[in-house]
Amino acid sequence: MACLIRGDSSCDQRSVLKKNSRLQAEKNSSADERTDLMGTQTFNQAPPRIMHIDLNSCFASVEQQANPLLRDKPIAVVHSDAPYGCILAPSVQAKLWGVKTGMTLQEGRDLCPWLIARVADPDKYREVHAKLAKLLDDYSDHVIPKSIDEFMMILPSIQGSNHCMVAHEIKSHIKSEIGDYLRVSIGVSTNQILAKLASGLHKPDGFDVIDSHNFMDIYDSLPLQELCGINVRNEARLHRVGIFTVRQFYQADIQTLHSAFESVLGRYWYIYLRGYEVGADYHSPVKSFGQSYVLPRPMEIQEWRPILAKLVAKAARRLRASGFSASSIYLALRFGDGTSWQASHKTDNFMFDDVSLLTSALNLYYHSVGVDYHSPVKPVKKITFTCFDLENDFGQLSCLRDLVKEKLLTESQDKINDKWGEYTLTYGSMIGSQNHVRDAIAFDNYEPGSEM
Amino acid sequence: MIQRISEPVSVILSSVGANHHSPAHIRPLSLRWGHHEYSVSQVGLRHTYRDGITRHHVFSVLGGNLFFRLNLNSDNLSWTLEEVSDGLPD
Repeated sequence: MACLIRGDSSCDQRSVLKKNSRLQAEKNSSADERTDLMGTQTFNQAPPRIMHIDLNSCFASVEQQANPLLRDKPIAVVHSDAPYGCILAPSVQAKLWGVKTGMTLQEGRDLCPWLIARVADPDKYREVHAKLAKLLDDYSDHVIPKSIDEFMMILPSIQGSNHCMVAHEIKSHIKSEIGDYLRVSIGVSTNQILAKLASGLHKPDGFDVIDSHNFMDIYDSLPLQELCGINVRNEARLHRVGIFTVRQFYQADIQTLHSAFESVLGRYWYIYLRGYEVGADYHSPVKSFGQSYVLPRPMEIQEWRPILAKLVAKAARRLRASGFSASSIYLALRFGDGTSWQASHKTDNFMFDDVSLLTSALNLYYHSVGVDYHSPVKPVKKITFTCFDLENDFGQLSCLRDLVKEKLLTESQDKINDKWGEYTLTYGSMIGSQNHVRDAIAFDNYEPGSEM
Repeated sequence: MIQRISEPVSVILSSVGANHHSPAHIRPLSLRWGHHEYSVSQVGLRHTYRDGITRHHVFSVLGGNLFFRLNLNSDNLSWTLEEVSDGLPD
């Protein structure tokens, strides 16, 4: 049901919704709608209360917000403004020319010669994310950031409250309090998947609701790949069991879906398409911390080793800032000739400092590839490092290592870098990485800027 | 076209509404760069970032037909002009 918004709301819904959100937190949670679904054949009859908010063309819109001279023009936010620089986000106007995320800047300019490139400025995007989070927090106690440009929130069910009015008010407050050029698409439904689907039906600046009254009309209007999570491979799986439309997907029984996906995904999709939620927790717990970097040209180990050290240091800093240590690492390399190598390793110890994580990563590489530091191996084009199997703090104390001392040393190093700036104090292993691995677009642990 | 610059500039700033409960609303009014004075007609966005313990306030503003990126170092209250753009492709 596309909702036509007319006029302004007469009263501010924020305070009312926020108050009721607290009172109804558990009582009216969708959790009670999630259980015992296997016998359910029909769509969830509960009122839709999951709202998905998507900032349209986020990075490009923020750049256009900052610089009014760029508004209504085709622009692309790029990692680097060199011709091979990757386009991270095209503006709405650039998309009309066929410019897409992932293209090189040169490919974008071949399609749109007037394309204006702006190098990504993550601080700007984080600030807008934080302001949006603060604004949404006034409407619900359950606001969950899904990415830097997407939020999900559970609306309290209040008699007489109108989701259309709330959505309109949120859009209006974004324009007046964050930026008049920023547009969000909002979707409301009974679960996260369908709320996200609804938010994408009429981009940009759309608002749609999917509920028990209109779900089939919307299903009939969409191809399978419009569903979040149905990619080419999953679509092929559905084709193999005779499912070619979303309506057929919805009408398929659970055994058919299980045979299509050959996993628990079949059961999940059976539940999703009926408007129910899987699992009671909307928060996705952090399971790993990683960094990856595409080198400007294929490099020998002597050149990329300092860059790996920097990637490890960045991941380790985020790991420690979140209060975790890790017992497993993963290292992947893509070589200049297109081949790749990857390996992972689990240790008995929990690691939190740069040295132990880097040593572990290098040992993994040397042992797996069977080379030493001076051996000629294939030049590397991309490095990915991830640490996982997380534990709060540094796990069990060891009688072989003075973990307390190591932790104090690492904390001191972090404090110095907090005070004087990132990479003020680093290990020698990072020498040679100065111009690589710039700030990436991440949104975890961001604190909005203080006012003057 | 974008021109990246790193020059100290003189900025006239308005600060309104500071009290015990809320911070001041600040806004650049004009800037002097070279021999020209530009009146700020629009503030597109203001954002902040930290460099160590120093907080920087970045104002993206329009002055005349040009876009300016102004950086205020809150430690020493110095202004730096970081970028000028006319909004046209390079």
